[in-house]
Amino acid sequence: MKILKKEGDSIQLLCFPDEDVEKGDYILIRDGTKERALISQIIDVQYANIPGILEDLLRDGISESSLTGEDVDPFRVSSQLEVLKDTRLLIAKIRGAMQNNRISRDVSWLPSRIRAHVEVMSPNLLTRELSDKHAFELGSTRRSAVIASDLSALDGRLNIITGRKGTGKSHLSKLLVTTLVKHGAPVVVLDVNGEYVNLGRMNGSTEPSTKIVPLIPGVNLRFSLAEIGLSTFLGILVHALSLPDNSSRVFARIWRQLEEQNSLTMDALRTAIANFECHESIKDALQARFNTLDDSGIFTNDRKVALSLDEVFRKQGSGMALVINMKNQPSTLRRITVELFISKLTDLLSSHKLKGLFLFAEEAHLYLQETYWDDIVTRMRHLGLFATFITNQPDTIDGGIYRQADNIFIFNFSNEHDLEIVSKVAKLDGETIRMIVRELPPQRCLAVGDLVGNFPMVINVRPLEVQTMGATRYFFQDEIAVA
Amino acid sequence: MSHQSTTVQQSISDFVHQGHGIAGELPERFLRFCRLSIESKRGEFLYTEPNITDQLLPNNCDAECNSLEFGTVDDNEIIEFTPTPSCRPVAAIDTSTIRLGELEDGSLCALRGAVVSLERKHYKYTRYGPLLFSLGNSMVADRSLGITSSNGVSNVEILLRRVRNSLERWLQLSVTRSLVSGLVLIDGSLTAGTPDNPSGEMENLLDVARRSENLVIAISKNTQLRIQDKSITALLELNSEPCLLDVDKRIRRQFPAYPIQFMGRIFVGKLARSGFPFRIDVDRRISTEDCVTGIKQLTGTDIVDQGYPETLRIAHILSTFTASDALAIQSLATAQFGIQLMPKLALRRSLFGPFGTGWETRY
Repeated sequence: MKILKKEGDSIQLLCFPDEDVEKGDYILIRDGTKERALISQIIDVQYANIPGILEDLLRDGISESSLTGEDVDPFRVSSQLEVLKDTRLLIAKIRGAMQNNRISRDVSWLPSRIRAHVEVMSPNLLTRELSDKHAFELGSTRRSAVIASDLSALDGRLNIITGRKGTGKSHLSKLLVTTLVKHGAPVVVLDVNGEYVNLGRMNGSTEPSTKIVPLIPGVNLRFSLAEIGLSTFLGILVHALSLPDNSSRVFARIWRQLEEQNSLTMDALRTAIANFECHESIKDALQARFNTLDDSGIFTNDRKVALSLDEVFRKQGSGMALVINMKNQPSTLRRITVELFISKLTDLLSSHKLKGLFLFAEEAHLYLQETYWDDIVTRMRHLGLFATFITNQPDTIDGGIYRQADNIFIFNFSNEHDLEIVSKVAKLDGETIRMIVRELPPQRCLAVGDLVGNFPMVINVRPLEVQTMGATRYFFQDEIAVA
Repeated sequence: MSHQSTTVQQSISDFVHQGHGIAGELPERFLRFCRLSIESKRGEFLYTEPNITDQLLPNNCDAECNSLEFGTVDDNEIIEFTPTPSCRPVAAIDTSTIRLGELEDGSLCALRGAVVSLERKHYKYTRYGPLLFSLGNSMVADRSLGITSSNGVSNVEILLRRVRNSLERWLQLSVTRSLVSGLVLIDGSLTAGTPDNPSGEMENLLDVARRSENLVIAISKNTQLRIQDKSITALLELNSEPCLLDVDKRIRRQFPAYPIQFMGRIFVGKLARSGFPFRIDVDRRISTEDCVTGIKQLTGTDIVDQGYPETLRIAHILSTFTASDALAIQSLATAQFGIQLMPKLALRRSLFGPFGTGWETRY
């Protein structure tokens, strides 16, 4: 490889046919005798614009179609010509530098074009400065059988996993969930398709793991009013069921009266709302919302069947995942459940009953109120709630969230609109995303952020040992398998 | 007739499938000359120019360069004809040269030749080269190639033309020997008698052709024969149908008998309807009638798009050097013969900066 040109943070190199490089590969441009090198990533591979190539190809075209013949080439010039024709132009982005065998971000210098030595670089060199306290195998690259990372790079961070349908988003999400659990972290998964419920089962095993706890709202996910408290309940009425301010004040009064009487039950609430002296419209509003909550089955007067999150986390000890299975549930119930859960988790984190918690939210736009996005990304993050959003519709996540993301995993997108949205990520230039992402095969993603040492990497996500479900289901599955 | 056709087909098939190309194996003298000339330059610098394709030499330089008196052309003199399909094999030969850069004394050059044949409506080719060699200003002429110095003064341009003529003549002769009753197309004219193009060689070629009942037809894209500053091809400007005009006598009588010898009968011909007119030379010893018959057969057998035979067009395309050919050869010279490439000093650019003219100021 030879340096051809440098403009800004882009560098162009000529690559000869016997040199094996692909998009996403890292190269090291050593500066002659000096102990420094530029770390660059290839974002596009093109044909080199060789003078006269058009004439050559046209001539080849003629001789391939209507002509047969032979070349008497005693000097074997044709072999040199083949090398020229197959010479490629690499477009690379400068990502950093190597100074005395240490990674640095000082890229203000230019290597010698004549004396520079260009070589392919192992991506492991880029992640070696990550802590190995909570090391785990993220996957592999073309150049390295194992790409190891550190879970600390997820701790306290905001993460996004996005990509087209069927490209492997959920697979990566499950890998992160199971790895976090294995390392003793508490995790909550908001599962809209019921695809995380078997995560506890090893492949081929029927025994579920106690570390993965599936919860179905209204079945084994029920709360007592005492556990919930007024502020959470009111939060649901206001945010999930759009209760007006006047009505919410009346409801608060009713709640407090029953609390003072030590008779706070769902039945008592229903009766109190019916008998409370207030304007009919307020009463109607309260009754309608209350009926919705009551019908959801998520509240119970029986403390034995009610779920105490505090107790669950305490009993389970370190390392567990609560999977809230919201498959086939109406959107209102999903919103109620999520509102309730996040509110409860915030309480636990505020009171330091939980040190921190990793929240995995699949297609969050289906159940998360707009008002909550900023809250999760900013306030709750400081409390210790670290969110990972997983979506195949990148435009459902606000642009500001992309800019704040610490880690982003982008699977294949070919749609320009989608690419435009994901290219707003602050940690990587849009050109790299557009060039690499549109050609990613399934199960391969462009990982950007702390988890890969802030060196964007094309990663084949490692297979899971657990049952995953959630893979796209096909009618012609057999035929596809045979093919 | 059918026996002759079979023989004809067999002969072209034989020479196409010789295994050493249509014209046979390259003579060792060519290869020896190339190797010796380039080995002597091992380790030297080659000063290259960025736009090497601009240096491609014209494919043919006519010996004649004269403005002629012509008089008027009577319509009766123009022979209109209809193409006649035939089984006669057609073969075309063309060569090209390129100067790849300057050495300390002379130039590094390359040469390539192509032979294209038409058999059963299928085109086949053999391409020879590129042959890489050096030519020096003080170079001793290579007699084995028929290269002699001109008036004792060696000049790269002259030498290069002679090297090319040498390969071209060998290809023409080899093809003519291999064919029976064929049409042999060559690029240029049948004019001889210059130091570059001795009449003995041309005579030999035509003699061999006659013995095998081959007809040698030379087609010239750029003729130097002019009438009042216009090319003689302008004589057929107003004719749209395929036709020939015999201008041989009128041209010959305006040239002295020595040293230039017109060994071909000169026609201006339009070989296809609405095609371009070209100067066409056919062996002088063949009767006009047979010449016309041969040209009719050529146009009925080969594709003659825009008035130019396809075999000759392909031979030209295959022999021409492209810019990437030049790069590949330079790279080979470096890898195999240790020649070091250096950009040629842009003198004009150095002196005049952006105010200079010519290529040097562009790079």
